[in-house]
Amino acid sequence: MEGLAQQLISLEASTPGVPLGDVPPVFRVIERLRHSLSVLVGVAGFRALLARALALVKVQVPSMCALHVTPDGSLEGARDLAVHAEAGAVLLTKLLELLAAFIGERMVMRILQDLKPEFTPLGTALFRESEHESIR
Amino acid sequence: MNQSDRVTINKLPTGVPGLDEILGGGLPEFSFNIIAGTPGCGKTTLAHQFVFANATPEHPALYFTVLGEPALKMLRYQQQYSFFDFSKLNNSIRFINLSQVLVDRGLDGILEEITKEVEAASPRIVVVDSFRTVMRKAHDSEMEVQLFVQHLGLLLTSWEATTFLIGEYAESEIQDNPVFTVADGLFWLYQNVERNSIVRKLQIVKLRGQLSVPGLHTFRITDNGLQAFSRTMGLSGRTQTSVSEKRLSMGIPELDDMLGGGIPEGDSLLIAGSSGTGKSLLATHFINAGLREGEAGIVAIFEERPEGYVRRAGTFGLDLKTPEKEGKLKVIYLRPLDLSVDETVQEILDSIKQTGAKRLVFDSLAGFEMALAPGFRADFRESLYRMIYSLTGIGVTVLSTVEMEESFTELLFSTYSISFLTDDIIRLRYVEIEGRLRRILMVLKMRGGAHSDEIREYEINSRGVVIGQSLKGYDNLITGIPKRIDGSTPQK
Repeated sequence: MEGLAQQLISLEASTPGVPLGDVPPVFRVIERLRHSLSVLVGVAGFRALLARALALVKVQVPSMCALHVTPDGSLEGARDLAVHAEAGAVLLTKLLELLAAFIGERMVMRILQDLKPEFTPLGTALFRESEHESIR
Repeated sequence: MNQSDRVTINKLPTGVPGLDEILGGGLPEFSFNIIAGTPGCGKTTLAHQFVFANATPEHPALYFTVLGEPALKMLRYQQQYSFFDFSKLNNSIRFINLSQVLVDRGLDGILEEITKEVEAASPRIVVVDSFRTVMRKAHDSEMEVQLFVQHLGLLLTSWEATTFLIGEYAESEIQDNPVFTVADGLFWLYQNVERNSIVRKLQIVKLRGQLSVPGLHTFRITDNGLQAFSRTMGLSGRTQTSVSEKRLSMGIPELDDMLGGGIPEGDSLLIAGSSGTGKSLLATHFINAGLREGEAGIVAIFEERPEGYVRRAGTFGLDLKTPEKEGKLKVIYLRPLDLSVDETVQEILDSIKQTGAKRLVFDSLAGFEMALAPGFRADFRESLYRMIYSLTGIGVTVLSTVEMEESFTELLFSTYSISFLTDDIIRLRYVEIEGRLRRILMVLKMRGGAHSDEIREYEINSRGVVIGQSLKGYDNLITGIPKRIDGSTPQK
């Protein structure tokens, strides 16, 4: 999932004309996921997942303690999110892992592809399966 | 107005095996339906099957989730079913959660959001799960509920969507609830625990525009989702096979003679007798005789495994192994202890389709009854009636065995009071003669015409059932304790 998170961050960084200019790409990805997953699993469902992911990351990266999840599922609490960009990648990885634990990697890939059509699930088990099939 | 002027109602496949037949061909397009029932009875799974069976990129489905089962969990569990096609997600099926909308903006907000999504996607199918939680939010205002349901029904029908509203309703709510008045179709799912078994049934309480099969139908939930078993046993609409003049051999010439030339094709024959009298062996002769004539057959057994059954037939020189390998014979072993008769018949019908079988053996009815969930045993006699009528109606000749508790004062025909269900009855029994237990056989009933009134002795040896001569010179043979006609006491 770490590779997936990095791929999403890279794609977001290269997306032109994004409205949240000062926000690091990783948090823009999380914001995009908030919109997408709130439709799919509800605001409460997304908020629960992100809060759990954040709690797990805070153990590893204490500086993330400044952040908290608001009732609508967005992240809040840091004046300068750019400071947390690296830890944000860990948070995104945890969020994707949690999501995959609930609904499976395959469904997560569908959601991510819907989120970013240019996204290809490189390095995932699913990708490797389809790659093998095409080689055969 | 002639027939061609009437609007044609298209029928959509439900994706649930057996349900289309119960509905009279499928679900009416653009209908507004409710799936009701208690928690865990399969409402959400039924809706998912319908959605996955019908949604396409051109005709997508919108699945609205509201308060109730969390959407995360619903997606987690529903993807376990084989019908869940990941490639349909988002491009053909969109899941949209409206819980927060309901909390923040109430029924008006729900209607606005559904309207917005429907206008944007122009869906073929719309599901609201759970609709009951939407209604609970507005419990104080009956008028508000009425208006909401009216508007929703109008919106979805005008957008040509076929709709399912899912709710946990009690049967007592049917009369007063405006939702049920507006609905075109009402599907009620039941789930009861009876002793150690779960019995699931569904009823089409209401379906506008077409005839559905009335009554309660069994259904089962497997890895493939729901499968329904119609009370008509998959045979409604089929034309009954015309009456055949053909007689089928039992594989024992003497017995064929006693039957007036064999069993009329399409009859139901009952072989009744106590343990060890050779009922199963006679049934094996019957199936073997058909196989020798090139007729495929099916044996449904409940008391022993197929390998044992086939091996035992071989010890009497009756080869079932070869035709089984060649696909001409199917030995079905049914003993899960929570079957319904309808499921059993479905399996048999599938086998008939597969093999083209014309002969069918049920060995035995007592074992069959034991294999049923306790809740279905109460209806066993009625179910047997429907089953036998259905199977013989398509030209299958059915032989059933039934174990009889032996009485030495009278001759019982059969347990279950099912003798009226059968066209023909052969009775096997023990008699005590001169200190030995001997076996006698008689034909009690042949609906198709004359039959022998002899009481013949028979024995079981390496050739199977071998019928001997009439037992003459005795009275009261059928009671099991005969007397010599000349009045002398039989020697011990």
